[in-house]
Amino acid sequence: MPHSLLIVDDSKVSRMMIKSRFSQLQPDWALQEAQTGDEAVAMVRAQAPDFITMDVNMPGMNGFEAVAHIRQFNRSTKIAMLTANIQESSRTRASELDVTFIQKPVTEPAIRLAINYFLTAA
Amino acid sequence: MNLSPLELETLAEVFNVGVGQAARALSQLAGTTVQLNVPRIDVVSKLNVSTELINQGADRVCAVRQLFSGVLSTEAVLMFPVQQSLQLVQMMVGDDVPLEQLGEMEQEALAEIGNILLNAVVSGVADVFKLQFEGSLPYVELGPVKDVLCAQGELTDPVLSLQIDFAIDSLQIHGFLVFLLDLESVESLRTTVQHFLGVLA
Repeated sequence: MPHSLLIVDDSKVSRMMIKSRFSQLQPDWALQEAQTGDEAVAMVRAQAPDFITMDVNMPGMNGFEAVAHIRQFNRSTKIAMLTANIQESSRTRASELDVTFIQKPVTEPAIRLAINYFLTAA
Repeated sequence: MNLSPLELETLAEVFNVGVGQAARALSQLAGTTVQLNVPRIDVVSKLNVSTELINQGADRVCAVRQLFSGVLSTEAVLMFPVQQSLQLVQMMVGDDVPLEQLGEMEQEALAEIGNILLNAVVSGVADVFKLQFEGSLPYVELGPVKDVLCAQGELTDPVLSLQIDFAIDSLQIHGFLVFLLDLESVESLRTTVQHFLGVLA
């Protein structure tokens, strides 16, 4: 069964870039998109994906808040924060939430890091 | 404004760390080397900043603006000549977005470029000073540089201005990063810089 990925980012162009990279590297994965943290939480509640890439700076609920919500009812989906907010405090917050941290821009190496995390993380 | 020469130099150097991170991000986007100068730091009016940028050829600009708040508050603006906008967008998205969709994606893509570069600089500063900043969402503006810089406040408002020029020679793209620190943040800034220097001493 192919893996499922939820791409969460308020920027349409970022979602397109992430989607394009994943489609090239993992063509059999099923990809879904959410534009906000709220939408992501609802989608995960309805049908948990295997993997999520999560932006941080979004209108309404930010990415960290969305992850905290998701973790209240879902511990199994692996999550990678994929963000331009690369302050040490953001990395620390990601670590506290037990998710990985990957910095933008959305390049092929960045997406390979995300895939590698998904495939190898316990 | 009572920042000493050493404090101003410290500030420029710390921003330079952030500039290094921005250069790395921009270079990854462009797939080529990016030239960035050492930040110039001045206490001037917004009008002075805009006049200086106009003299450097940035009359009508495409700008991405973000506000960062925390112990220090700063308005961060990425600007480049209007005619380079689509080229910059193409550089970012490469073949990921079909050419026919590029125009309609322009503002989205510019906002994301600004988001990446401005956050890179601010994150560098935050980490060196051990501070935390909350950033607003980026928004894109188009128009004369004076209108862009003075969207908030008055032309004559004094600000602590940090300017960084960047150039991607192979793509003939030239732009500016400007950080305008509200003078109300000056005391916090002085305290932060003095604490930083105290740790070094």
